[in-house]
Amino acid sequence: MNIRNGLVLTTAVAAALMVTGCSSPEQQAFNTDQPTAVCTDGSGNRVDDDLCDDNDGRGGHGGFMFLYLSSGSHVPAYGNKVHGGSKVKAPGTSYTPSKATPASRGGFGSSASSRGGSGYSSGS
Amino acid sequence: MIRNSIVPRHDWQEKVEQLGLIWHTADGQPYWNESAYYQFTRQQIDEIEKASVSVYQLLLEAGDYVIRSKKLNTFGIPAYCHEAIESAWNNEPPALNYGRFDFGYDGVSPPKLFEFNCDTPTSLLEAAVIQWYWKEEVVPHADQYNSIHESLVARWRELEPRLRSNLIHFAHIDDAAGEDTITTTYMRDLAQEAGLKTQGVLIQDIGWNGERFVDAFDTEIKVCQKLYPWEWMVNEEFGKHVVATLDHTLWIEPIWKMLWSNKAILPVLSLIAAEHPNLLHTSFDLSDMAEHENYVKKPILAREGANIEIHQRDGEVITSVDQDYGEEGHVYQELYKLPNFDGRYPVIGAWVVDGAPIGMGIREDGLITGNTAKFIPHVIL
Repeated sequence: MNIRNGLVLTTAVAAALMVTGCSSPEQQAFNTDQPTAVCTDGSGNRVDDDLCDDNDGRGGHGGFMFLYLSSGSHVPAYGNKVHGGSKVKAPGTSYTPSKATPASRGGFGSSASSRGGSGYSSGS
Repeated sequence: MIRNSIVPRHDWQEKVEQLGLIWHTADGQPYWNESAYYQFTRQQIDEIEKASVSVYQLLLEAGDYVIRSKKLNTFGIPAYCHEAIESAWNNEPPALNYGRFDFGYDGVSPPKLFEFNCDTPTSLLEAAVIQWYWKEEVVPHADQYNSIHESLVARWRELEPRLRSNLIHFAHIDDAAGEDTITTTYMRDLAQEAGLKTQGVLIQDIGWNGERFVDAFDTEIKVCQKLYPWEWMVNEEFGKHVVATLDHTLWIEPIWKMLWSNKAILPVLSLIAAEHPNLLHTSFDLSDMAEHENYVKKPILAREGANIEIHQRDGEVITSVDQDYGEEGHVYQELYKLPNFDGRYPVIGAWVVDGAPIGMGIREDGLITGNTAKFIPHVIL
C-alpha cells in the first residue's frame, strides 16, 4: 500500500500550518447537507455573504450574486471557485446561507484551556 | 531488545514535515528522535502481539464485570452517563475500536500492561507513517511491526455501511504545536481513503442549536470522530446534550470507551485474572500492595504521565509534574523495572483495532513517561 497517496489532507494542512501558524484555510471549505446559498463575485469565486444583496436571485451590486447549491454540494474556502451552483433557486426550496447562524457555541473545550492543551504525545 | 545509535538523515526535519510531522522538535530537542532505533526479533514481536490479544480479551471480561456489578461509580464518571455507557457497551454502536496499549517490555519476560489509551490515543502519525518511511529509506532490508495505516483504512471500509451519514466530522483542539490538528487531519485522510467525506471542526466551534450538534457552518454533525477526551466532554456544558442525543450523533470512539481508558479498569483486571503474565498487580487499596515494596500511585484519570508517584522500598519517592489530576481517585500498581539504555527507558505502544494487533511505536523517557518523551523508530531483524 502506498501510504503517501493517502496523506492528501495531512500534507496540505501541515504545509499551511507551517506557513501561517494558524488554522488552515482549508477548514473554511465544507460539504453542505442542505440547500445552501453562497455569495460569489463576478468570476464565480466565493466571497463573504454580506457582499450579496438580500433579495432573492437579484444579484448584488458590483457583480456579486448568490449561487444556489443543492444538498451535498461542496462549498469552497473564500476566494475559490464555486462549482455546480445555479443562479436561480430550485422551485419550492428554501436555502440556508453559507455563513454560520448563531447556534450556541463554546460548550466544549473549557477543560483544554484550563489545562493548557495536550503535549507530545500520548493521549489516553 | 537492542538499541542502536545511528546518524539522523541530514534533512530529517524536512522529510518528516513533508509527511505531516511538524511537531518534531520541542524546546530545541528532537521529539522525533532518529539518532537511534530499537531492534526486535520476530519472536519478540510475536510476544507483543500475543500480549495485545490476551489483554484485549481480559478487557472484554473486565468491562462485562464492571457493567454487571454496577461498579461505574468507582470510575469517577458522572452518574448521568452511567446508563448510556451500559447501553453502548451492550449494543456496540459502530466504532473504530482502536487504541494503544502501553506495555513495559525488556525483550525477555512477558510484556506487562501499564494502561490502555483507547479514547484519544496519539503518536498515531509517528507510528503509522513517519517511522515507516524512515525505515524504508534508512534500513530498507529490515521489516517493521507496522500495518497501522492500512488496518485503519480497512476498518473505516467495514464501518461505512453501518454509519448514519457518509459525512464524518472530526473534532479537535487548535493546539499551538499542531499535533492535535495534524493527527486529526491524518485521521480524516484515513476515512477519505475508505471513500468517506470528511469535515474538520474545532471543539469550541461545535454548536448546539437546541436539538442537534452542528459544525462551524451549521451543518448537522451526525458522525464525529473526536480527538478530545470523554472525561472532559461529560464535565462540560454540552456534556448533557451529548448523552441525550446519542441516537442522533454517533461519537467515535463511543462513550463505553470511558470504561477502558480509565485506570480504574486496572484493579478490575487484577481481580479477574490475578496471576496473568501480562498484568501488573493493581489495586484501589494501598494495603493490597504489601507484597510489592515498589509501587506506583497513579490518578485514575490523568494525561501524559502527570501526577504519578513511584514509591520505592528504600523510601524514595519519585514524582512527575503536578497538573492537578487525581480528584477522581487513584490506583496503586506494582512497579515494573523498565529496561535501561543509558538512562533512557523505552515504553512499547502496541496498537490494536477491534482486538487485532496492528503495529507499535516506541517512546523513551526517564522513569516516568511524560510529555517530554521522545519517539524512536524500530525495526525487526
